[in-house]
Amino acid sequence: MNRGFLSNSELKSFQGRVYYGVVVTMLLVLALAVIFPFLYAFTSGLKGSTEIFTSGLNIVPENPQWENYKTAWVEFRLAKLFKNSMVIVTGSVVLQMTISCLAAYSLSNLKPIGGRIVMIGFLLTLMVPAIAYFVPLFVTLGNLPVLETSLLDSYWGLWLPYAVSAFTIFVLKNFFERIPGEIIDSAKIDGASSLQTFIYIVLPLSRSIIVILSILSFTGIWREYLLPLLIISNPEEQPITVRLIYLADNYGVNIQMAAAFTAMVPPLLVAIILQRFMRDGLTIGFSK
Amino acid sequence: MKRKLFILMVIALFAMQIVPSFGQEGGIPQTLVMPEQIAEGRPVTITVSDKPSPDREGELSLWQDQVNRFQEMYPNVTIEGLELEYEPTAFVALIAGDQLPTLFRSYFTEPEKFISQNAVADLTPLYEASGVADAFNPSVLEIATQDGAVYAIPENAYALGLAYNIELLAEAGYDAPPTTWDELVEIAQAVTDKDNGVAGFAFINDGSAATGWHFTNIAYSFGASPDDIITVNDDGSFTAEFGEGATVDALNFIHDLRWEYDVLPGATLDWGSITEALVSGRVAMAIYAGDQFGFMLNSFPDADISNFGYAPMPAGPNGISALTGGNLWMIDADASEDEREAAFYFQLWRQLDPAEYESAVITQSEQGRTIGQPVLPMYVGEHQEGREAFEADYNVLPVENYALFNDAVKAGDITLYPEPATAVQDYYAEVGVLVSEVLSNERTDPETRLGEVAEEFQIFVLDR
Amino acid sequence: MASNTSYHDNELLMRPRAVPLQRIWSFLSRQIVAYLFLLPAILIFGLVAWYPIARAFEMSFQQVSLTGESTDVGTANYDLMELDPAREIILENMLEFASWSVALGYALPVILAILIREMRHAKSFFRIVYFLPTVVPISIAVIVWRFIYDPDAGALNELLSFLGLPDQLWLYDPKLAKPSLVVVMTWASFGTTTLIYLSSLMEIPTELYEAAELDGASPLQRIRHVTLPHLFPIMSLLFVLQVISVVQVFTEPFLLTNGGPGRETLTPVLHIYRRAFERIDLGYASAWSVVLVVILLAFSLVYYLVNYRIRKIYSD
Repeated sequence: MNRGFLSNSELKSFQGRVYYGVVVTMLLVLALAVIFPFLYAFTSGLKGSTEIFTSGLNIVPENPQWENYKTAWVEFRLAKLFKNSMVIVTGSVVLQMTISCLAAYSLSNLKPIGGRIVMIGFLLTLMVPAIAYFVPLFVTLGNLPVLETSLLDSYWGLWLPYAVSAFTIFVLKNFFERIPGEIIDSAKIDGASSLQTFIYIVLPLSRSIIVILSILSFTGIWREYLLPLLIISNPEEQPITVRLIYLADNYGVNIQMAAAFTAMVPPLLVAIILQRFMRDGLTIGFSK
Repeated sequence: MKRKLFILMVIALFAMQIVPSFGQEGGIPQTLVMPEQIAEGRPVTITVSDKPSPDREGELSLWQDQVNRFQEMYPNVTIEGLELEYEPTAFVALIAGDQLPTLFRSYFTEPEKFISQNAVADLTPLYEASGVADAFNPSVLEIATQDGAVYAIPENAYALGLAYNIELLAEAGYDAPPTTWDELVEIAQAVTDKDNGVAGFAFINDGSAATGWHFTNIAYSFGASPDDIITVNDDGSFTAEFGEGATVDALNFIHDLRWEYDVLPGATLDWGSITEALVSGRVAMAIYAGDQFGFMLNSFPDADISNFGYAPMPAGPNGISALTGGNLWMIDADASEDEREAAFYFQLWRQLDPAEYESAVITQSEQGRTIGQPVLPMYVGEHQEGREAFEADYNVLPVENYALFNDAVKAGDITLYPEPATAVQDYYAEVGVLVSEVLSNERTDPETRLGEVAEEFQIFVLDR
Repeated sequence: MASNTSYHDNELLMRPRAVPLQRIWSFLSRQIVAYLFLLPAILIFGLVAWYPIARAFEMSFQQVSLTGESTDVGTANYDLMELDPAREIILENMLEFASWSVALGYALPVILAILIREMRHAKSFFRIVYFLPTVVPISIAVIVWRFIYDPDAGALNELLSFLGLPDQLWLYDPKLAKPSLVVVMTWASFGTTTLIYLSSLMEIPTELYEAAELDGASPLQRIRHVTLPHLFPIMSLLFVLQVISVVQVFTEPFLLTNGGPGRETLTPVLHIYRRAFERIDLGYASAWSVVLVVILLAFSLVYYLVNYRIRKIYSD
């Protein structure tokens, strides 16, 4: 069977069973510790405003106040915050996938002169941590060269920086290169243009990798804090990551917990439902 | 700017004039003469910050009604509200993106930053044309002035004082708040009950700029003046002086409060949570701004607000001193002449028009909000007297609990200091970090570290 | 002959001209198409990556105002760094954060991955459960964490007093602030690395373990000689990535401790943020950014050289 460093017969021995029991217990305890913040936020969000300070280790509230969740939903305007995040992240992912697929297709199949240099240029951005140039990025977005406009307080100010992903281009390029040449050649012989080949042949064949990369980018950009904090100052437009923590101090801890838990549910659901894709996405960068 | 010390006396003088007005019949005089037309009737649109968000329905409809009234008076003017509140970093982005609202609210500490970035309009011509400057408390207007030009419209002002829990003090056998720092230590020690989570005394201690703000207030009380913190030299340059003298005494005192008397709370408190700590009985005495009582009333409807008194800061070597601050409105430098005019008159009209003022007081009082806060007079002469007389009928706060503070202001017993002369938020941020260091690490030496911080501040901020 | 010659001449004249022209044209058009596909990426990379990176370097030699005007100041910004009293503290904090993070979070995913690999049941449950925190935005998780750490009513101190231990000021005690933050950082990230190790472990052919077992290797020896050597390249890469990401931490200290108490959790990026956006000293902040990048690149380089040496010695 699917053995590891222990064989199945070793596991069935007495020592093996003890070992297995200990490991399972340890893993379960750790699992509980890891999800504790979620449970704690959920139950604390059900407590009364003073109960939360006096309930000691009683994690479960005596008298669950479900209306806290309603209060949090209304007061924090969570629907609007989710929508803002959704617009920011979706726009970024769509733009990122569009420019990355186009670029990767060009580099892998159209082989422009200087393509290698361009690819090195893309990869160079992986060497410089984004956090190290957020100051000039802010200044640049505040006063775009040539265009002379400002993208501050505009979603373009986030969509453009988040569209940049050398990793996505790199993975897509490698994937496109592995598409058998005959398929593309036969399309060419049928008279398909490069654009047609790209849209009708390459993209459909790459659906799975594009989905995986999109999910990966989506969850990554959803978590972003610093850049949206700097770029979007209009509270009406801010994503949930920026606005929630800013508003939190104005409310009792129980309401804060209800709001935080509500805000964490969608990412958790996404992780659980799409776990296979996310796992594949994470390991892409590390497989040979 | 060198006039700051003189201003203190002016504040004190004007404060003394505000004797209780005995049932003035005349009401509030019409101080502001509104122009026949704004922008000679040309269409003009302005954006204005601090529009209430839709979840604050009552305030929003009042705001909208007020805007409508103004637009009826001046049909060529369109006012667009923005749900944008002042926040130093957010406004950095707005300056950088040339996206400031036409008219926006900020703090007393901020005009200099905007002026240095050429981001706000010089309002002197408008003040001159309207002749309204005389109605303002001159010391407050001075805060909006740089090199003889006025850049802002002051809206409200406060002085820091001492809020205290009457019941907790009474239980410990004290029926009056402390009048000196020695007394404060004595009472704080008597009230502190660490087992039950009660701290005798607190100030904002989260290590942010607000911590530096409260620290500076303590330093004023220990005998520092704004000039002893940052001196304005004759050539217009600045010198950081806070590395020695009364500021060191104040920081040593904070060190002792924490490590010798142990009367401070363990939790970190900010502007909002210090009120929560007061109303939940976890803190007995706290440095507090008069306008925070409105926040207390609004945010903690269950709290027994009559259990809280307000007194002047304890006296130091030079008597009672306190730091003052407040809010003001500025106009975007990119606004056209027409926009400036509309924004300027819109704001003044909101503040000074007697009918607007009275209806605001009445509705606020009906909604149970914030009339009667122990704050500083914004205007002078008949206008101020008329306002006070009018407000007296609508108080929703236990004004008698604030008598110690209000009387001291009116008697001129409090030396009211403005905030230091330049780069105030930067200075606050640096000393705020240092206070947090003193509170968390007993071995921190206040004198050495203040000297270091002052030196860094001189090189990196004042000399840049 | 004449006609022949002329024919030949003609052909000789035609060939070198017409065919290359066609070729050049089709070559050019293919190049144009290729670059049209590349253009959006090049434009956007140029605008929000290449240009700002170059600007970071340029700005570090300038005084820059928010509205974009810059004046050259030579090396003044770098000279000032010498005088910055926060410099040593930030470097110390950087090292301490990295050490705490490696101590608390480096071996953990390796051990977990090996243990989970060995599970015969519920493998997929363990695979997902540790991964959950990594999808949650950190700026929202800190709302929960700061209450867990709350000195008066937080879960941790309640647990301590239940056990009869004294309360701790988790985030405000200079000794505990860094590890408390590192716990949050580890919580938020170790699930990802665990999954990466796990998928790498799945690649080990079971025959290797069987062979080792036949050779009489104990379970621990099998881990030592089969599992760890297989994981080593990834462990080595993840070590660099972990250190690099810890050095750049911003959100946790910004939102949980504001760099405090005192300057105990002041990190380079928090310092850059404050200098740039609170003091509006953009040039000076850029100098810090450049130095930070140089430090990180130097660290990666030295690490790879040492690593290469060790592996070479090892394989000889």
